[in-house]
Amino acid sequence: MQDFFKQQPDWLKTWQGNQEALTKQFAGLSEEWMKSVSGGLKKEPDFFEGWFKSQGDLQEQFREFGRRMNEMIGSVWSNKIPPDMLRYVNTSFLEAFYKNWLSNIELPGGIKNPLGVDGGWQQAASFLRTFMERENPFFSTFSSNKITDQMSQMFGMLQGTLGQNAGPFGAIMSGCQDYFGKLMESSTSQAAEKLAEGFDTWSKEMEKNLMAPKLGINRELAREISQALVLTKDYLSAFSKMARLVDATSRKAGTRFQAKLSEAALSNKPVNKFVDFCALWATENETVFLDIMGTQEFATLQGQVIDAGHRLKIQWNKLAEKALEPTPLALKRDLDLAIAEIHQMKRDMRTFQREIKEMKAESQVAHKAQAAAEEDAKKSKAALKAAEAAALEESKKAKAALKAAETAAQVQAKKAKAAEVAAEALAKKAAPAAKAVMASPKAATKTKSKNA
Amino acid sequence: MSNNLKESLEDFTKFANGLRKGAENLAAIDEIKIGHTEKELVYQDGKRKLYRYSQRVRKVSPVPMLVVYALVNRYTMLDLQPNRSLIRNLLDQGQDVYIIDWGYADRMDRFMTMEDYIDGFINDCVDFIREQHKLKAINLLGVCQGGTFSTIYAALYPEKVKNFIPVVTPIDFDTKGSLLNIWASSFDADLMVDAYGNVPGDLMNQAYTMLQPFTLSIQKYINMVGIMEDSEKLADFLRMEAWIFDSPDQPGETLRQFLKDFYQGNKLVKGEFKLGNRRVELKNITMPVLNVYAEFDTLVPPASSKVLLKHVGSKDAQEVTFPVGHIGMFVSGKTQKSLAPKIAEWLNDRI
Repeated sequence: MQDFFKQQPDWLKTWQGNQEALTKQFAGLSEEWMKSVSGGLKKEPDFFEGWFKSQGDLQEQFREFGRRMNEMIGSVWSNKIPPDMLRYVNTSFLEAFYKNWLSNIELPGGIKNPLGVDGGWQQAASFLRTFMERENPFFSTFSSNKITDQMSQMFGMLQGTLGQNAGPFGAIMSGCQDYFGKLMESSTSQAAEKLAEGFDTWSKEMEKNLMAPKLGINRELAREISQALVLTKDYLSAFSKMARLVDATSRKAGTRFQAKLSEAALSNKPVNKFVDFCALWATENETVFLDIMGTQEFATLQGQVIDAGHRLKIQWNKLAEKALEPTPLALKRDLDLAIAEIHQMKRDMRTFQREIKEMKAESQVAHKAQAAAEEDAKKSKAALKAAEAAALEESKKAKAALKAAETAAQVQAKKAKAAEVAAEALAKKAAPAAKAVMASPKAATKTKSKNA
Repeated sequence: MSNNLKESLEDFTKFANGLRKGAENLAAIDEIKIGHTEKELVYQDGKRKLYRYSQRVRKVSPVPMLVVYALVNRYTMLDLQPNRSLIRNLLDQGQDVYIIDWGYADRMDRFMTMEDYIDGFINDCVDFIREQHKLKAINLLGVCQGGTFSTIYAALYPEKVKNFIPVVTPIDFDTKGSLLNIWASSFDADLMVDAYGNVPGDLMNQAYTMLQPFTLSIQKYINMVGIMEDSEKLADFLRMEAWIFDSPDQPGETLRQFLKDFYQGNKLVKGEFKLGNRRVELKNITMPVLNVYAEFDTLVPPASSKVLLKHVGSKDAQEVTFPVGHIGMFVSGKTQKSLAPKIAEWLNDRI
């Protein structure tokens, strides 16, 4: 890998040097051509040889560049981005663009670039076909390389299982594979249609083999293969319809692209820059294609291709299962059942876990409520106790107060009694005196006046 | 005329030199990485993971945000590189961001349904975050198909969603603005899932390439030559390519339901969609909604997203649009400085 990286800069420098030299040579030739045209001189034939050779060399250089670039991207990007992406990046289309661009450059004296003659590169339709051959994702969407992958696997399995007893199945399988291989390689709608027709005839022949009594215990398998043939026919038919539409659309887009190129040249703004040329090509094609692709008719046709492909794939799956039935290998449907069951168990487990969680939460709420109630009870009890204690205290106080009051009353009573006694004593004491006074009014008066 | 030819060839020499320099740059570039912002795995259920991004500012929103990305492609689009990252921008705005990583579906996920994803993992993640933060509801941001999932979630569990932000989210699948809508209505989804089980991500990529076939499969690589001389730009380009082709397979049953109920039945806007046994009614979305969509979106045309606000029950519902495409919403220079601040400002007003 390291060596590969080291080699690149050297190769690139060499390529750049060659390419610049050739460009100058090419440009020099064109200048010479101009001079000769203005001077009215006739050019020698070898001049044209040089001219064409330069162009051819440039093209070769560019092809080499595209190839090396692709190789390099594959090596460099593979550890940086997902491998799926690498399939989409194919810089070899640069070569095709370059060739197309070169053939559209207006040459001195209005001469047409000879490269335009060889392969009809000025037609976008032709360009698209080349593109399709390179498994561009745009076109592989119309087909489905997944189906061919699946078919290869299935054929491998069936052949492995049936072994030498494959008999007529082997012929049918390899025939189908061959047709699909050709379909993926077919670059025109006519080719796809021819394939569909060819398949039709071939499958009728194959059906005869499937009817043969020699199939014995494989009769059920024969029925499934027969069904696969019918579905394959449907798929090829849908595919060829789509191919026809793509073909017609690309022709329309090609015409439009050419018209835009001419329009630009006529308005004295020729599309000379490579990037502008590519942008114009992409824009014009996209406009035409999206016009078609946005219609319900296209969606319906695309749906037919997709559905036919899926029906076929399902049938291949079925066949693969059939092939594996006699083996101890776990079948896809068994695995699917197991997965579905595991999934349901997981789902039940989740529901169960959620219920437990909810119950736990509910129990926590109840627990908290109980704890709160207990706390309240405790508080009430304490409050009751405190109230009792307070009442007792109050009662004690009341009792004490009562006692004190009683004592005070007793003291007062005693005092009153004592006062009474004293009063009685005084009265007793005073009695003789009163008597005396009663006896002697004078004395009584005296006493009275004394008291006063 | 001669000058034209000369100019042409000089221009081509320049182009070829760009290729040469680009090839050298390509060889010098290290492994391409995406998703740079630091994050921590906080919850996991099998291959499905919940991450929490590390804070980048001191003052953080008290209400965390859960980001739900689509099953199609990977969530790393939201954090492609430091200077093109919605996640980083949201963190810089003080948002506390969680994100779901759905992982790569394999055969064991063949029977995963939308119910498993929405009622299962999204709900588990929301509950997990609510418990962690001791909150009744959190903010929910859904992107594209993840936005549709989030919409369904918000309609079923409105009490758990404080604010809802669908971004470039398809709701009405019957708009004619997208080729996908037209194409998806014309093939048999049952056959596709029965044929493949899990539908290959590669096949999905082909469908997306078909939306702009010549631009995406040819023009893009011609344009690439123009940036290859600049190693930074080349690395940006490769990061985007790495994301584009990082396409997990689609779990069969989920895709079947998504295609049939949405692309073919348009049941969400009709009020006929059921998740498990429960009918999903958009009017149950009563929390504040900020609907974000892209003006030039060819995957999810504006009309498909805009319709949401007509159906929700929220009194506080707004929409905001940006002059970008579907992916541009997250990676274009135009939105780097405006999308995250807009979302953060809207959320801050609703804490």
